[in-house]
Amino acid sequence: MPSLTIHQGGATSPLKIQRAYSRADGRCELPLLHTAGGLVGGDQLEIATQLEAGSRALVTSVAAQKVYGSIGRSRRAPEGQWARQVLEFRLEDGADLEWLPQELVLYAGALYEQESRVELAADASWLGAEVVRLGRSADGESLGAGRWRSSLAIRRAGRWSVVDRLELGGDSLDHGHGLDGAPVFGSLVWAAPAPVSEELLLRCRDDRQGLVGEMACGRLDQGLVARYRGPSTQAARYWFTRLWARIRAERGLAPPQLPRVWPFQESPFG
Amino acid sequence: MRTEPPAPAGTAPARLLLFQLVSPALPVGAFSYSEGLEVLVQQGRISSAEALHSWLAAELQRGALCVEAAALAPLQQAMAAEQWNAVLDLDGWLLALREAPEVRAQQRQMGRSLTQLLGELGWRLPTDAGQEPATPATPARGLAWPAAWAWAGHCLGVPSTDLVQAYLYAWVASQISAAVRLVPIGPTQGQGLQLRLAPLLAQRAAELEHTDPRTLWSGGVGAGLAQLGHTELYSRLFRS
Repeated sequence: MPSLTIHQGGATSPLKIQRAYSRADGRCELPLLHTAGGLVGGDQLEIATQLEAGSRALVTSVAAQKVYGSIGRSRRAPEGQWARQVLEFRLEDGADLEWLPQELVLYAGALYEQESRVELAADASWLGAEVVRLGRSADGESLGAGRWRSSLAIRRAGRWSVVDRLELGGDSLDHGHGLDGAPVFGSLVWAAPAPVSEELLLRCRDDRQGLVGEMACGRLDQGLVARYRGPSTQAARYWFTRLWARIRAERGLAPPQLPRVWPFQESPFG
Repeated sequence: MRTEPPAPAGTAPARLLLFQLVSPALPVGAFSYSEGLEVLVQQGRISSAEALHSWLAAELQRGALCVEAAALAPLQQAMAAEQWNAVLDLDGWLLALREAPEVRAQQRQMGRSLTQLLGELGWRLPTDAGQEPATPATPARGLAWPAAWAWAGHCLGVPSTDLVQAYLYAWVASQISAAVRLVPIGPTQGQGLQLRLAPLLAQRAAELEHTDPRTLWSGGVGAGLAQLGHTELYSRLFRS
């Protein structure tokens, strides 16, 4: 019988923690709700998570996060103000965290910067998958002069295992070296407690079947990284959801069940 | 820390030693890597000198290369101050910035080759510089390419301005050489391209020498995708 993980702690407005849900395998599923209905320039959110030895959790968000345009909106700061989110994860020995928020949508002229810091004990497992849409492209909107930044710094037992310093905006939106005109970028990183097999990567590549966009993945020294560039947040989330199931299997854990707050109309597992 | 420098290096002008460092004859195997160019050529994304120019300029302006170039001066300073923990921390941070396993392998191999070469020429890394025995979980440490380049600059007494310029120059030269072998451009076009990129290269080197690498960003998600995709090519000329 796997042990039950429970959560302690709270949130202050505009963040709210919805009722935690215990999965059959004992994992604590924690949905975060941002009650303000979107971020504006100058907003700052901080989420700090600590997992004790052997605990397991899935943290997700109840809805997609919108970031409103900031450039040219205010007379006092016509150059716009950054909305920032700081994420901090500390995982003790044997802890397992899945950080699977719903997508982020930047409106034209939005400035968003996220900083994620992850500190892992030697055999902890951290999985993070994020998808961002730059501009409400369904309405023909682009990001304009807006910018998206994501810094990810993962250390295991004090040594660097993954570092991202990504910025999309300006010339990198349309150039092939960057987003190549695509509106959606996605990144999945699994910092695993041990090296993974090349066969796992082959299966992850098979999982791209039927999905639109460019998808590539590779082994980390311990774990894997997968990136998406294309037209569809749904395709990106489908692929990442399939990889999530692969990772659960690789770890010998229960197959994932979709969080009840996710809006998929059909099964992403395909 | 400088171990006893071999006699000729002590008296030769640093510029001559720099020529040796950027020479294609430097036995570090740079010729066997394309850093994603092979994928881009096969995809038809880079099929002309113009497209290659645009790609190389994008990397010089906002790629992961810039973060590495900016790290050279702090690495050199930490080496001069014998702060080996700081050197290894920045070395590991730079390597972790590269998502594709083939590019990390490239940087490890080239860094190891350069470090070994310098060692055989008389400049040995101090034993406290974190040379640990390799295990499956922790591949051989040594120094990866940018830190090994900084170590070469430290050993040979090359000023950091020149060292940053040379790092960017050597990268451009190696990419052009790969492109010539991948056929989209001829050798003369390649030389023209290296000349044409010189002003941008000099400008970026001047900017990056005084920038904290940890404050820089990379917009090269397309470069990352190409590098990750290399392993899936049906036929391959290059190792990255």
